[in-house]
Amino acid sequence: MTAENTGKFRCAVVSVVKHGYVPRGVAAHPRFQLVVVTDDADQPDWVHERNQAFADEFDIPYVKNVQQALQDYDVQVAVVSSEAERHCELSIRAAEAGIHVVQDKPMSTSISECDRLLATVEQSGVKFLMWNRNYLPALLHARQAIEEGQIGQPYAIHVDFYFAKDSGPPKGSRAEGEPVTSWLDHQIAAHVTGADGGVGKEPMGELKIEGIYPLGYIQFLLGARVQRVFARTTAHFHQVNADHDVEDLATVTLEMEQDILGTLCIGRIGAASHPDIGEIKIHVLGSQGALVISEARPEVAIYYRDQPAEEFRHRRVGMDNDYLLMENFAQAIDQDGSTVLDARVGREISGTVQAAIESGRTGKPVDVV
Amino acid sequence: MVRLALVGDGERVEQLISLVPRIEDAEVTVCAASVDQLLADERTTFDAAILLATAGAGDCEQLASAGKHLLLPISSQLSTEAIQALGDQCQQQGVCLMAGGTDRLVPALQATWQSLAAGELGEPGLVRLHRWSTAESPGVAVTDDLLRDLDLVLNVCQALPTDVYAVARSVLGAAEPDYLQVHLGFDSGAMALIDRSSTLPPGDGYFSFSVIGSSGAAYADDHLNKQLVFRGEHPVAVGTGSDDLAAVADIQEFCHAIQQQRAALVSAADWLAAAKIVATVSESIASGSAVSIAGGRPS
Repeated sequence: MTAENTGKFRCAVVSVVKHGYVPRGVAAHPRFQLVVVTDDADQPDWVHERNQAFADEFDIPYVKNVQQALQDYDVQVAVVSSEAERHCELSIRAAEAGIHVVQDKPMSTSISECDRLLATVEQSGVKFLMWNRNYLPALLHARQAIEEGQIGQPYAIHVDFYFAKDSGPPKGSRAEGEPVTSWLDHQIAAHVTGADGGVGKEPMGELKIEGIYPLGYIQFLLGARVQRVFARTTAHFHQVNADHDVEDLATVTLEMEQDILGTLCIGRIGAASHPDIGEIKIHVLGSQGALVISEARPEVAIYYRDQPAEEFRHRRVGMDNDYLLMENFAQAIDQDGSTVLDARVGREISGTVQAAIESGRTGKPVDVV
Repeated sequence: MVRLALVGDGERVEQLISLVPRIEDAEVTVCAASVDQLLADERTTFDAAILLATAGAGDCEQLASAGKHLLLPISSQLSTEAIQALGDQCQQQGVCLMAGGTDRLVPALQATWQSLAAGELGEPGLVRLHRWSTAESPGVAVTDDLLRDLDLVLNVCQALPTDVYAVARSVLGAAEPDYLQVHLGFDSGAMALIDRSSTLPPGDGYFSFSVIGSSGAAYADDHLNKQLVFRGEHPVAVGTGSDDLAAVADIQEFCHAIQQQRAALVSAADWLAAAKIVATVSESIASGSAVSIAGGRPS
């Protein structure tokens, strides 16, 4: 489980069917070396094709047998970025083999799978990191301000997390009698634009797909667990969400430990609704002041003739999230510490998401379990 | 020419007198400290009264009975019954009643309304509003500003909500809550979140208003409209200030409504709709549960 000889951790990429930001992020740290891509042999062709393409890009082998790859390549870390419904199963198999795990979001599509993963991680003693954005410069700045007491005792937090991306044709565009596109087919097709965060067979709304990020911010900044939620959810923008009855817009009232209140607005609001990736803001109120934080800053505005319409005009700079996440992970392994978003926190966030979805359906406040 | 009476005292009267020359076809013919004082002198000539401070129902009824048009600040100090009665009376008397100081005509929001009206944003899906102020007058300010906030939300959604969930806290120890969150759901699927705080240290407040529509979005945020002033250590962020423009626009709209014999932009019905939601907010806070009400378009 340790990298005693080289100081480096040998990493297996255990399925990489999205655009690969998690294993790329892992590889951003010099102590983590991608040595093999692996997946189960019985996966469909499109999965194998994407795994092979990633392996070719990094010039490492692709092995269609997970257990064999983990053993044969002397792996210490598994990087799981499969379809969402396979996340937990693959992570559990790695943890049971005594291998540390870095896993893509969401933790799972089901709470029972999250529970199974949490139990396995805690029993095996491996380190687990849910991929997150907590080390973005704006988040680090906000946390420092709070820890220094600049706003007194925090009592409320609000996060806007709008992704200005499209997810296929707009709601209302499917003609009567026209067949519904399957969720998986839609996600596979969305791979070219990078809008395939919900890849898998099981339809997922934005709360499940992206909720880990803003809820991770709240946990990172305040360390308070959500106890009760009230939510409104709807498919407002995209036909595929309406067809599969999963939200692309949600608002959540959060009631937390320490008497802290909060709200979350989350949505895949369409590419037309923001010139960049989306308006992502954090508002924190304290007894002696408040913070208004733009998650995108620092950024540089770049405009030029014939600039492609889809290109972001504002480019984020000073981004060190990937390196810092993996440094946190390395330290957790070296010092037997915890990671910035471990399996227990991941499970808590999944519970909040599940409660919000239930509240959206029932119209009633729901306790987080 | 609309002849205006200003009712109030202090600097605010002077400020408004200085703004009136910017209003088309309007002049101030009289100033009085109170409605009683205004009506005591039968020789005074005016068509419309601008009440600068919250007025009692009796004062408003007197003015309406005298056939005077009324612009008064939206306030929670009139009950829903009083607002309804006043609205009915004004209608019967054929006088215009406008609720002022609502932020409808704040420049950033005027741009938002224009975009909404032009269909650029599509069908509204979410209204997100933050309004934070200082701790100078906790309690009352939270409720009063909530009326203003709800008016803005209802104006976007053009409907009453069907579901209301609210939570409140007394952060600084006052008897009345100085922090409040309101969560609204509408029949159309649209939703709104308002958070209102009066706990900031002395100084400027903060206002942010976003509308996310099916085909576009508007972000009116103080955060985006600050300039930097360097005086050593960290720079200070300073607002660019256009408060007078909203006050001018309020009076101009009032005068236009009178001249065109139409309902003003923020009518008694709008005020009543917001006031009813305030009552539901209080019910939700007291019960700790979501409250369902008859939604739909305001009558």
